[in-house]
Amino acid sequence: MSGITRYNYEAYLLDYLEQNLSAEQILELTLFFEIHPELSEDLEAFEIHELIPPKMELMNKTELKNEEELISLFNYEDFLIAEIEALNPAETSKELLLFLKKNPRLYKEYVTYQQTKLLASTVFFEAKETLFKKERKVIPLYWWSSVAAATLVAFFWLQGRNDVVENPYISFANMEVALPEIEQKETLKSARIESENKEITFAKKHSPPVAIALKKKIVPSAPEKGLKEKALEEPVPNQQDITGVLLAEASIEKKNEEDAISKELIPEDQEDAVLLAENNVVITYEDEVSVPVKKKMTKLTMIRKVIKQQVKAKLFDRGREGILLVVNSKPANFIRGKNKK
Amino acid sequence: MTVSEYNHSVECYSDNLYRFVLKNCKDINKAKDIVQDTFLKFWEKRDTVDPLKIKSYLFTTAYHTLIDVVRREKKQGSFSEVTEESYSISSEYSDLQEVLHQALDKLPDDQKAVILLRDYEGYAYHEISEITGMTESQVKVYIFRGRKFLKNYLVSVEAII
Repeated sequence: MSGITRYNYEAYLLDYLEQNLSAEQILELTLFFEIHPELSEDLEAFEIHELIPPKMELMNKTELKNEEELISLFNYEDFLIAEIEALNPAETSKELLLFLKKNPRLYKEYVTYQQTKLLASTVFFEAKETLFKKERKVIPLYWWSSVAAATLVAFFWLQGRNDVVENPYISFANMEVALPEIEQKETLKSARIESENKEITFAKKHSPPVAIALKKKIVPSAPEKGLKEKALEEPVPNQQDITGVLLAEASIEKKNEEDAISKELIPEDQEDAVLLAENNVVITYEDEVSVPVKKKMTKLTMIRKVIKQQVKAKLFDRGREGILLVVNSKPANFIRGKNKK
Repeated sequence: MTVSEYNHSVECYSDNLYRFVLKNCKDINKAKDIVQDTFLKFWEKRDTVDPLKIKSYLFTTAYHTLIDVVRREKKQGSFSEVTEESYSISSEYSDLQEVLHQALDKLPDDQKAVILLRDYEGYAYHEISEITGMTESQVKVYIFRGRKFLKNYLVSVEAII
């Protein structure tokens, strides 16, 4: 049985009128209308409403016909745009020019298309600096640079060792010691080495200064006093600069000569003490106020010295008042109060 | 890519990129932000970017960022802020380029972008298609349509004047 029913026969009817049905389908449709004669009215209605196209002549048909030529009135705009976009081949460009000559009213359109080209305006990005990245310098560490550095270190280290081996004993006699000013003292009671915890610099010929910190505290016996006095009486030039200045060559020679003489007189068991005294070891006495020996004076010691001098001067100047001032000072009262308690 | 090469790219292309973005979005602050974002992305991917295609990469990134911004704004309803006056033709034009840029603002975003890339930067069709992600024929169609619109706009302005 065919697929034509009461519900879809209209579609078949439309296809029949448009001649889209096959011979078999036309036969089926004819059979369907014979079975359902009441529906044949629709067939007649469709036939009545068939549109008949009116007979009209197209205007300017010859103008529109341009089959032989590439460029026509239908597509000339595309060629105009392609021309300003530089897409047309040379032959097409020539043909377009001929077309524009034939149709001069279109030339203005061509000019207008040329004007649609945008000209780049000058715009600057003000925040350009924020975009820049800072360059990080990378220092490459090559193997040969490492080797060179290691060689240099080893060289200086070995050289330092050789120097030590060559001069295992430092001859103090050959040293130039810059001694500070020594104040004259009235009495000698007991000797004391004041060089404790203070740096003493020895200036040696042809060698860099060597810093030695003496921490020994040597209290010589009575017979040593004479020797030490002699050592102290060595000619030491006055020195304004506390940091140390080399002695003159002449004074060194003189000192060496005197050292030789004194060594002859010094007994063997006293040699160490004398040696210390000879080599920038400052001997002060109990009554001394100022620190006479300072090769390198620190700020603290300098301040102490100044304060001591000021206090001393104040006491002497004011005499009794100064003494009373000290006696009645807060620390003194505090000590007294503490003792009472 | 070294830092100096990156800085050289900034020196060469930041102005052009800024001009392209600014002409599209018409907002100085947004244009600056987009340019900053573009160069930030470029710095992050500097090792993967072909040194011969730095400019193309920058414009591609800027274009896509721009499209995202424009779409986001349209969703937020900024389009409704456009008044009818912007669609009308003003007779106070003194310069042809001024008229042309006014007409450019009336073009759809895609057409505007491709015409700017074509005229300002001189890109070829295939380069524009790489930047915008369109096909080459699509780019060509947009440029043709854009040109026709600009021409008609100029003609209409001339008619008014």
